[in-house]
Amino acid sequence: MAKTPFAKRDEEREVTRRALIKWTLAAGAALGVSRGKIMEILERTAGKETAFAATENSSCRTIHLVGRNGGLAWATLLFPQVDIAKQSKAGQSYNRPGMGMMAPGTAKPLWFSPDTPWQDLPPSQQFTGFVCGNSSAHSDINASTSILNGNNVFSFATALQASTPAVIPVVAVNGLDIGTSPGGATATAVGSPDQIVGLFNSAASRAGGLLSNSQDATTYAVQYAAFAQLNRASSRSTQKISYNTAVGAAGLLGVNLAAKLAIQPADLQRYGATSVANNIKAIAQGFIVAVKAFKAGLTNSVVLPFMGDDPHPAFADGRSGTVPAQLKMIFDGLMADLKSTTDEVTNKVLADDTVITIMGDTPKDCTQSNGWPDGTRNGSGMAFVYSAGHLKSGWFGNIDSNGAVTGFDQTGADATFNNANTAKLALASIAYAVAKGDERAIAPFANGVTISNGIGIPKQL
Amino acid sequence: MKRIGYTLAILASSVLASACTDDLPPSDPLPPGSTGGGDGNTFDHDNTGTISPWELLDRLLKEGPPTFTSHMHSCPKVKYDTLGSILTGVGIDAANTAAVSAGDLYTSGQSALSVANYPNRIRENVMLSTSGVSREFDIFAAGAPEVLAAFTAGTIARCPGVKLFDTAGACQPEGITCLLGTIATSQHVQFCNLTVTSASDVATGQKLAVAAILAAAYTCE
Repeated sequence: MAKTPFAKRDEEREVTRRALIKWTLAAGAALGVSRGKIMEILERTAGKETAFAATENSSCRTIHLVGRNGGLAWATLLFPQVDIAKQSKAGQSYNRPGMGMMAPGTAKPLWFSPDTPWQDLPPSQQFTGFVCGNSSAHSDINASTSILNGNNVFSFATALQASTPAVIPVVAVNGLDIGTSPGGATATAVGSPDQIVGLFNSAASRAGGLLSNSQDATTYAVQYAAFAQLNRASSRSTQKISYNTAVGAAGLLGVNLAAKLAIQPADLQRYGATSVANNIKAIAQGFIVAVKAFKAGLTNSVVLPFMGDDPHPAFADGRSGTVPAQLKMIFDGLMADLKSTTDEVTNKVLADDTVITIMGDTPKDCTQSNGWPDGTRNGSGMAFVYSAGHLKSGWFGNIDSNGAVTGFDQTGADATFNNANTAKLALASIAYAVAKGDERAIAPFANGVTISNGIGIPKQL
Repeated sequence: MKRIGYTLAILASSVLASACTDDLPPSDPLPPGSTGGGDGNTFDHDNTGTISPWELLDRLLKEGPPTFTSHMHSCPKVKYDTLGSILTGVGIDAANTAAVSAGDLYTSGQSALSVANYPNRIRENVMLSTSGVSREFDIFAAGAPEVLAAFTAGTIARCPGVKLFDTAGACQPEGITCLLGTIATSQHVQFCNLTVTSASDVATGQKLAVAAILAAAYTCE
């Protein structure tokens, strides 16, 4: 479809604004003007919108949940298929038959089960679901819903986040592999979420390090400041701000961040994760550390395992009645934290700057609760995304209570289900959300797929 | 013919334009409320003189060449490759793979140090960030024992044979100069000795002095 003159004008205007911001920041850096001062100048000269755009991170941070070994199936009880929940037919895998309601105001149909988290968010911020790709029971990596044109979704998310400096770009927990992509970061691996805490300590502040003793840490910070002020230019207004940053960093070097990031009992209490199974508690721990690390700008992405307990008997043993409610509390705790926490660098609320994805091997058969089989209708997989408002909310594609699978096309409209095409659209949509609706940024990975035409919310200029 | 026609048209419009310009009324005095400037109310730039080559030479000798003076107007971060050269120059093995060695922190710190991401067309960051400076200082702290060993062995690449501490443990100005890259002052020596004596022990104090001197010397490129 040809672009309208208005669309062309808006696109050109955005490029011009980007160029202005880029050159202003570069000139400011060359002249030693602080970022805050640059924003003030931009606000006065180019308007609030341009200044606002310049202060923003150009990408969202990400929390990826990977449901290995059938773990993804639990997400279908938090965000159920609309028709299956609505019809509540006996024997189908909806754990709250006769309960719930249609979510009001979402762009696509969405069902609120009593176990659905984030129900108090506005309709445009509600989650986005995709019936897409293939299921791949009991595999660690479901290539269908994680590889887009040869690039791993977790890896290209880090490539999109590359313009936001972080101490560790991405942390992968418990052996999760983030694959590769052009420009993608290498994951730092830890065995469990609580081990993330230790990653951000400086080598100097760790046990045996040069600054592990508080007296030495203080001496170092004071003497650095003393040596720095001997640099004749350090007191010049053009260099002072950089030196202030450096003096702060010298102080930070001796601080053991473990205490700042450590998971406290009050945190677990807030997430409702004090008396839950270990695999659920691990998710809460991952969320707690991720929010604390995002707040301080220490990392851009955390990849966590999700459940991984192959819940075939969940409907028979009663866990379908308890586990989703526990997961809802944890997910609600995460959103409450994200909403009440601001990024220390950008001063933006984290809930507006964080994308959460849930993907995995198999969502299991949502039309059969008995034994909750791994095989799915048309071999379909699923992906669940909190896009911070960058994607339209609700389900793209669906499985109805008769087991019929409907797909979707690039405009977001219902279409004949095609495993490969839907997977491509879902993964490009995740990239689009991470890139905050920047089609140009995702072009190297999306390879011709356009998201803003129907699935994504067009970037506000 | 067509080309000649165009040329004539351009020439004619140039003449007309200059004629129109000549016909403009004098701009001074300005009408009331005008925001334009005139000879009487703006700074009169002296364009009559020429730059004396001797004055220029004198200024260059005092202030340094433009490539240097431009750096005095900003404090850009030390580039990743430059940092590698600095580490090698002061006796630190930048390719060391031992866990939490200076070399390991250097090679694993590309993201924190904001190196260029060519596949995504993102240039190396020029501004100082807390994460970047922290990592750089962490590298210097981890590499301090290597620097001390190189001084002791007299193998420091940029100034072989120079000592940083004498046999009594006092800081030596030539050693500090070697680390700074500029001539050390008495204050540098004083602060260096103070660092050694303020630390929990002398050995740690010497490492702290090396780490702090390097950090201060290479905060900006």
